[in-house]
Amino acid sequence: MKISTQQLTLIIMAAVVAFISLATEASARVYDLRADSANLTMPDGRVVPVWGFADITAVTGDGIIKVPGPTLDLPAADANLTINLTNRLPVPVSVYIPGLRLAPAPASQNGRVMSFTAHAPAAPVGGETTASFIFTGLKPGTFVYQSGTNPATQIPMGLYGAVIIRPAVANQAYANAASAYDIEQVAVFSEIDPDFNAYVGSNGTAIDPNPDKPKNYALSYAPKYFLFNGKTFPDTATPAAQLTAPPAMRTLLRLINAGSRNNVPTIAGKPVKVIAEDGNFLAYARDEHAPVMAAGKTLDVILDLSATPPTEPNFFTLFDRRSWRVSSSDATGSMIGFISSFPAGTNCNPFKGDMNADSKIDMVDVLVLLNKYVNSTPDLNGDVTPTSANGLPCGKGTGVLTLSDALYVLRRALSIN
Amino acid sequence: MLKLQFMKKISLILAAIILLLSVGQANAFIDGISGTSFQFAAREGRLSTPDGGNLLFWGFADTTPGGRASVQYPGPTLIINQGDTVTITLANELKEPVSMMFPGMTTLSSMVPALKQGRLSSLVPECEPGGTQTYSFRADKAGTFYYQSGSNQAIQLRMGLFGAIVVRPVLHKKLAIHNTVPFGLYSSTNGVRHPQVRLDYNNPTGIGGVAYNPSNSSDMSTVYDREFLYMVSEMDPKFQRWMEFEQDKINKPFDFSAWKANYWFINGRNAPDTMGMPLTSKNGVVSGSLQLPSQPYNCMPLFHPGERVLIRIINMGQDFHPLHTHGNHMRVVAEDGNLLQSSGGTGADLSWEAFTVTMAPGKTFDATFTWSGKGLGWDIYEDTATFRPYEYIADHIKTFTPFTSPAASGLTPKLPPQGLPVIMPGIQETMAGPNGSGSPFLGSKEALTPGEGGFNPFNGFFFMWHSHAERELTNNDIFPGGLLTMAGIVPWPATGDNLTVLDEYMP
Ligand SMILES: [Cu+2]
Repeated sequence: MKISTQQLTLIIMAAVVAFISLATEASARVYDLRADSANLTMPDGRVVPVWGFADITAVTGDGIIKVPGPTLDLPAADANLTINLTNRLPVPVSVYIPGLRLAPAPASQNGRVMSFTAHAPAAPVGGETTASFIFTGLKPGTFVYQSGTNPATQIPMGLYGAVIIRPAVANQAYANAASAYDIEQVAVFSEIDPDFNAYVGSNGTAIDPNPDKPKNYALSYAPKYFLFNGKTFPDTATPAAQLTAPPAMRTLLRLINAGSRNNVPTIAGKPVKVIAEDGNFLAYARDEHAPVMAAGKTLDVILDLSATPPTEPNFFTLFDRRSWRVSSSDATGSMIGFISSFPAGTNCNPFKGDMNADSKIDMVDVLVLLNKYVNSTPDLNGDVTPTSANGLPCGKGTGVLTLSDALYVLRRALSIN
Repeated sequence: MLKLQFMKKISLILAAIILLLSVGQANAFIDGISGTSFQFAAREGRLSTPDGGNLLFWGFADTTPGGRASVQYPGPTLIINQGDTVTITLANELKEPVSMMFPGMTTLSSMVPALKQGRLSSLVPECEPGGTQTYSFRADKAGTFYYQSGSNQAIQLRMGLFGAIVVRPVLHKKLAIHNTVPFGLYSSTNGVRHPQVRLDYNNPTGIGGVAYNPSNSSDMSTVYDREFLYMVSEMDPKFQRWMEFEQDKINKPFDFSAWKANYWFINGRNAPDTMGMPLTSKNGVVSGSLQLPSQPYNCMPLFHPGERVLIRIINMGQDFHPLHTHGNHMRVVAEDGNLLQSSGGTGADLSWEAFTVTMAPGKTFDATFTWSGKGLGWDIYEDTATFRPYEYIADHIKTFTPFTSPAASGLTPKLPPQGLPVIMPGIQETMAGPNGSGSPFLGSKEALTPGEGGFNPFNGFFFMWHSHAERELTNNDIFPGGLLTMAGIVPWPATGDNLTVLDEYMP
């Protein structure tokens, strides 16, 4: 199906204004995705080859290969979803969405099923192949899309992403009013075994046929980096990687486990309300502080801060209680994410003061701050005092630096709580 | 069927277990410390495993004046009251910063993450080596919770820096709702029907209680007669040895992707030590399992037929464990300290019955369990003359005919009617294990192979409560052990139906 310019304009308008206006106009959303390889750099410097999806839809897509892939965001009016896949990988690739209807057409190779559905064949060197997938009978919820081809290899390589299907009512996750929210955030959990990715990235298969020492990297799969929206700690601490849950608001967290391990995302200091599982609204929400996220599962949870005064800043840690990681000296590689909850117009990030943006606060930052102070150079990142009643470095908000800012950063650099 | 399986299990498992210690004494309440102001120390210690092993751990010690003062695994169980503001001053005797966090509690002290060498070190402010740090929280909700270190968790949780928190509800022992409870199918000696729950919970000096504030005057969902803690954890001895012996931890880091538990603990002990005596300290006199000085808590649920038991389940490990209760199903009534009810108890009941509960890391569950012998199809007391307390009326006087042997000759054990008509081996060819009584009837004893038995003076039934992941029933590859304990059904005193008569095993 080809999309008209007029429809495209409407879609862009929908993204900016409100999708309800689109309701009578469109009944099928089309996403053009490309599967290709890319590299991720881990915080310890290791470069890991990945396979990911890019949104190459005309006008709206940015064409960048991402892990997790671009979020597919579908308004209520859409009855169907069409994904036109362009494959540049040296292996066949397909797309399926557990929980949504897709006409099954398993594809075989050498008499064995290797795809849950028809796939785009392996791309020739320097070329590409295509396939289309039509999902019908869409229903509101949070889902995951992933490769349906050789999934034990292709999903760990990075071929997954979030799907959001919206109900007719704005600011609700489902038709039920109990799913109402003020702001929504997506958190995709996954993991990487760098040895697995390195072999598959170079060879296109997880099986090393070396007759002397055959090895199946899918069998020895042992993840070492645990990802939160494609990043692992400490890269998850940057303001851009943090989730937002403003005070006095109800935040919907769409949690997706695209990995192959079960994990237990735990929010320190605040229970959440689990309102849906696998895109199914729960008749009775559950209060939990450690919901179980089985592999492939999606959970919609509400972080309800509606009783928190709008002026009160907070900062929450969202971590996998199973505590896996790569480093034995610090938390590098862990699934630790952060949720900032700052009053409008303020930045109370406890990692503020990292003046040279190297993910740590040390004496270099103190010197940079002092230098800027001496030269009267304003810097919002160094504007950390006064702190809030609960100790967060909200600062003055002007960027004007003072000696007490330098003192605060010095204390942080010296690990003085 | 159940009985046969049970006898078989008893023979297979218990015969192989060499109990280092005598059968534990059960406390009606969970062992722990109460109050609102505590002093804790984080320090290293050593724990014993039943295979003769010995592992390094880090734990908390209760250094409050009058406290046990020695480091323990897991840390001291805090038993506090709903609404209490609790303050813990932590002294750190370890070589790296530690901290304390209290998921589910209302934290009053700072929640600002701590940095070390410029990097995130802890989710909450931490205590430097040699220093002290004060944490405070308010227990706004009743239920089952835990505390743990918020620092360097991958290491510190695997080392043991955690403990249980039991928050007693405001209405604990302050209820007067027992009259509204319908009577059940259970009888007393005089034929008067008993409700399924003993209803001793509102007696200020009685043993029972309520885990959560009832939603209304007929909400009996978390009323219990006895409560037991079931806090599980794991250790990979490779990791514990790396922590103890590796001098160059930076250049020879531990590969966490290869971490694989080989020891599983309930309340800090591996089976069969779970069934040993607790280590108790009363008025300065230490008694019980002196052999396990840093593992004071046992897990030996002992209860009478008809009593409702509350199991407070906490998983402080990294792995998921399937907890299976033999003898009956359990009903999961709360999760993460939240009652499984809807609309304040007036809506749908969200509790669920299970014979296997997935204990997920960092989660807590409260489950109730009652064993009555209901529906076995035969009179568990053999006694055909009188009703016993909480006897299942429908099975009263039902005998084992046609398999009943004429007398307790000890050569042809009796079989229940639904049992397979097999010829049981002679007494010389069987093993009953230390907990065997030789009789399929509760409170009865029959001939045992010479040298067998001796650990079941009340002639009770024993049911295994254990992980259903069979690998977890080992201690470093030695079966049986690990995440396993036996729940003992202790017969009511035969003298009558006096609920205040408690024998020496059942305080
Ligand atoms: Cu079993």
